[in-house]
Amino acid sequence: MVKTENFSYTPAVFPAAADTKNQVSLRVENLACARGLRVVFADLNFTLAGGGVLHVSGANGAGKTSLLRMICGLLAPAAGTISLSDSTPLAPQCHYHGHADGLKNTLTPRETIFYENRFSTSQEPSAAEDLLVLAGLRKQADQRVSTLSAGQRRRLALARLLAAPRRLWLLDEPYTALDAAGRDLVDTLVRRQAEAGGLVVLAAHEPVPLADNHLELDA
Amino acid sequence: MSGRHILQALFARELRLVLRGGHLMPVIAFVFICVMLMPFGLGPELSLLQRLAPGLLWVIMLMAILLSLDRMFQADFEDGGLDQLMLLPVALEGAIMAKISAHFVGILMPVLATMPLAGLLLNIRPDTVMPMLAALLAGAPALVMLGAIGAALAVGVRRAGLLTVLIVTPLYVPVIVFGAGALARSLAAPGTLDVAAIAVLGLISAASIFLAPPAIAAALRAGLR
Repeated sequence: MVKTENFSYTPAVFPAAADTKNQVSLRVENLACARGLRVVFADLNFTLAGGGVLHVSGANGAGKTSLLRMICGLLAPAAGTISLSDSTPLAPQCHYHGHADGLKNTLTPRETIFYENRFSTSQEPSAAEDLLVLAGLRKQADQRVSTLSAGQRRRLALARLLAAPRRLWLLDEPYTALDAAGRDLVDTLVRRQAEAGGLVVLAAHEPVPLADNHLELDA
Repeated sequence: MSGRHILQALFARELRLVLRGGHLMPVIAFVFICVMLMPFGLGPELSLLQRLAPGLLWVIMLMAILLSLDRMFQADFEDGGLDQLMLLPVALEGAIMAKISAHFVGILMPVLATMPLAGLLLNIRPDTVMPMLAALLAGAPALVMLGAIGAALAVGVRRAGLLTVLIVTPLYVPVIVFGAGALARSLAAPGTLDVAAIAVLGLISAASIFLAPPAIAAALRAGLR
């Protein structure tokens, strides 16, 4: 079982609490999304302050995934702007955790974390072993990813969030396929990211008590 | 980590994926099946096989490359890996080059290494093996880069392999013309190297290495959107 609350490797895995003076915020202004001739949403405005968690909800087709993909630049907006308050480029500072996990079936979880560590610009990437423990995958560390269950894959994908620390996390239905311990893992990761001054935008159908902001998209 | 270290790590990961993916043996098997079927189709006359060998070897090489490129970006598109590639803190063009380089080293270098044997099976003389390899080495980067443009344009499309072939084949014509020509002249004058044709192949390869990555990046971005 994963005990994320009493996690003993905390200093190596989680980023330190942030200096609030240096926190940046995410600004979305007059954003519009169109799919073909259909306008999915328009005139969307919000600001998410550093350390904030935004819960995005809405019916299927309301544009939750599109919003997340627009924020990280994977989808072009029909109108509007998305920026960070310090005017730095958004895409390299984003982690996008989508429906497709991007995991490679022929690698092992240990290799997955190893390479993700090396894709980080951080000077102090987290130890792969610590992240495997956090994700509850120490026993499966040297199995191929193709042999993992859906929930285990999801946990491994979540562990990547810490392997390469980035300022903004975009989590699309992160609770899907997870058991109670896995859901606790998501909550712990999100809380720690917020405490470190990072930003989290989380799309989910269920309530997210951790979120201090809520955005409901109309279908 | 600097951008260079990230690209090195990406190259290492992609090479590992290529080597574990089981894509190499089918491509090599394809090359030898083609070569071994030729005498059945063309007849057992050795001089005819030798005369046709330059064109046959280039076409077989081209088809092998297209076969290996089939799922180069499509697999990443389907498993979400393309999203992660786009969000790396390096230029997408650099990431694409790392990926293509791993593909070249992991699949095409071994295939190139088998080409002398394939050539000998088509009755080319042993003293033309080195000129043949030089021409193939000079032209192979162009074949890969042009093929990768086709693979990127076909991302997200059903039956992408067929579409890639249709897009890319016309672009391959200059490479085939100069490559087969160089090989034919080496066969006509054993032991000689057609430096001019190989230089042209090298130029086409160099141009494609510089020009293809931005085109591939644009195609991938368009495919995702």
